[in-house]
Amino acid sequence: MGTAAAGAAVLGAAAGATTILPHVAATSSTGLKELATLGGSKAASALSVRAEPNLATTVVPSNWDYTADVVVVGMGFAGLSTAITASDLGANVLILEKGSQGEAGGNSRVCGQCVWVPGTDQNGNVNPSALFNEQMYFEQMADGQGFPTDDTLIQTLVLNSANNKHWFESLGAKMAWGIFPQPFYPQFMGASQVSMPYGGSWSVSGGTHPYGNNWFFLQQQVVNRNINVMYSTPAVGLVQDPTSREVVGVMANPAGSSTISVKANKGVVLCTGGYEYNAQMVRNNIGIPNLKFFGSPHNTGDGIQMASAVGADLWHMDVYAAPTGWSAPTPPYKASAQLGMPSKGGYIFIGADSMRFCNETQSPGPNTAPSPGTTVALVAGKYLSHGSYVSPFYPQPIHLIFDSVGFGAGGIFGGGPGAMGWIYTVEGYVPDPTNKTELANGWITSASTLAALASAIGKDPTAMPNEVSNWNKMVAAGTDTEFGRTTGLTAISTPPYYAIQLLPLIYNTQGGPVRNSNAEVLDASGNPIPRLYSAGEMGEVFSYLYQCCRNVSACHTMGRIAAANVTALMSQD
Amino acid sequence: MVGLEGARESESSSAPPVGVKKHGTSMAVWNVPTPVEFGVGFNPRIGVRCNDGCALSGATVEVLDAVGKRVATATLGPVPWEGTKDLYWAEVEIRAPEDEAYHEWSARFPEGEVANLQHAETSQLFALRTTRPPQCTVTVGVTDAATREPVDSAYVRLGLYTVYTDKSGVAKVSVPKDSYDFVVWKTRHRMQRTTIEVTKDDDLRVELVQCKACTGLLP
Repeated sequence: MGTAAAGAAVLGAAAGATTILPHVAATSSTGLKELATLGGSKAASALSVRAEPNLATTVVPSNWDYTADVVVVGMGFAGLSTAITASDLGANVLILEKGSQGEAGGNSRVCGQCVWVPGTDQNGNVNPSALFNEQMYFEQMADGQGFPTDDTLIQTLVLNSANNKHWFESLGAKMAWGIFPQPFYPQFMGASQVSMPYGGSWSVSGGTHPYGNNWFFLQQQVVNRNINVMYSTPAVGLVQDPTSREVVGVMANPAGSSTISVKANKGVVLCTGGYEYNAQMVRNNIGIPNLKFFGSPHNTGDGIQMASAVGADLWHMDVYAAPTGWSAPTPPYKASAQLGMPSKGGYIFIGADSMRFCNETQSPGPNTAPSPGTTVALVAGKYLSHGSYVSPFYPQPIHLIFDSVGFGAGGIFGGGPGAMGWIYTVEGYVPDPTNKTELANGWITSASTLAALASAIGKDPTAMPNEVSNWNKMVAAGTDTEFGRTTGLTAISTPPYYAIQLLPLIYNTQGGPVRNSNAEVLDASGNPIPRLYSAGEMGEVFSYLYQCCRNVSACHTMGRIAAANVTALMSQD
Repeated sequence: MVGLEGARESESSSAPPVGVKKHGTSMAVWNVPTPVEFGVGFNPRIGVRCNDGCALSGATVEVLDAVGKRVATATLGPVPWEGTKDLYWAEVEIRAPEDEAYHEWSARFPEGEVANLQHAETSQLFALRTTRPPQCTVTVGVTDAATREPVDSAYVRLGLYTVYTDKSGVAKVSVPKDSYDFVVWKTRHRMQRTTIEVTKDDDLRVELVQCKACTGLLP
């Protein structure tokens, strides 16, 4: 808990005043004192294109509204790690967070929380061979697939991430080890050391939140250090000195207030997450329509655009981590629910042409590592085809077709209180185990005949029933001659019939400004943009394939590296 | 992110008999050293878990080489791996192939009846890098550049071979004659990295520079 700072200055946009930010008292772990006047959260619309007037300016204010040594943009794991470390190194820190207090933290708040600590077994012992195997595994996810990336950064990330458990413990956390899924690419060199016992994940134990304990623990560290936080204050542009090219501050738009200027005496660290909810950026970089997202609707690529506007080079813009595969249109929620499959009865997927296009049980999943004999197993956004990892194809619109046996067999939409994902943790969606609420909401369509169902979902009323009939014949014969499906060979034959539109579900994007092993943001010539740093999933090192848990730990590691380097700079003042 | 305990499991590869429900299973393979000297024995561990929590002790697992030939079998032990509820495991004895190469092998849990219930097959690939026997011993002494004191627990790597320095700041690593990427690093120190040719036993001295703010890498 924080204590009131004696003589704390009043904060506000005083005309002509340059205010040196004091450390403002925090009231409680859940009642962080907000520094700007807030008119409620300025929530981003799902799939919106953010229209901002000035992403960068070279007009350096003569009078700044706020000042800090280090300005951290974003309060996810990367931002928190940066802020805590910078504060511990003696810097005066200000965090600008786009979300309201109840929506702060980006994807970090609602993700799996697991901290990857390479080369470390469940007793905390570090094995140098296992550390190097992690590095090899990492390099193969990138270089080995024909997408070489910065091996120095990989090595930095792996070696320094081995300290993550100790770092949390140094902050007072008790860390619990948990077994982790097998490596997604078990055939890669080093994969067996990414598995048991070194591949476990660590999380903060003893937390009271139903989800997000690691994030809340670190948020409390911010409170304990009286680090200043401005909620509902999206940054909209960087201030760059036209002569030196140094990034000297940030422009931000607090909700209900006019634009403010924030001076960064030492530097700015961008930790703004990905761009999943920026439809234009998704279209330009990923090119898959109708993607759905697990995480924060505030991820609209703000930091990527701001960095680009001051000359940052971008990388890995087409890389994303796709999780367990499917969601569906779920208005009015902004984020997405994870879809399961009917636990009884038959079901198939049909594409735009009303035909099946895959073995439905080779479901996407980060925990589904390819095994000998499998033909399609989607792993973190890629699947193994003829010995190579390729991007999947989605013949949209795709629909799940099933019957009343499946509808009555339990909730198809997964998750619920305490489950991972923004829609559950922040928006409070609770799936109906009878599916009736989802049917009433229009998330599930039903009809008494297959032809009527087809018409209702925009499919061919002749072709779709024929496809179901074809499926039922294969079931009767005991063999899926089209795609080799061997489980769930059950007919779809008991009306009424149901359909759900299937949409590919993403955890997060990985692209953003190029970053070196010092967490410096680089321009197109490979030179650091002075006083600009980044951490987190915006511009991560993953250049093609992804292994779960690495994003979270990379946030902590690169955030701490960014903090160490930015605080070492000479102050502008 | 859920762990193995709650992971979606890979599907079985064959249809169940009518009316018999098969429990899904999943597998982990670990303790495969990198590298492993060709012709030498090593002991990978194989763990198998039933999605429904069945006790799989007594079931057989096998290791297959790149062409599917069985090279070893083992029986899952009576006690789950420490810290897990139901990852039953076995240690397998294997002799590494007699060549210097990268191998892609697999471990397999065959479909069958265990604990009076049908369990689906599961398998897991793993990579194996075999290498020549060591011919030279390189002794690396690491000291602090400023104080000249030994640096313990420094990470030392020659190619695929890694070790930590002991309390006296010394690490010994035995390797075949070859050219190696040589790395010495400790957190909050600048990394030393170069390429060295190892043709005989050798003594190397490395000084690490402390650097509070640096990542440990040379500029």
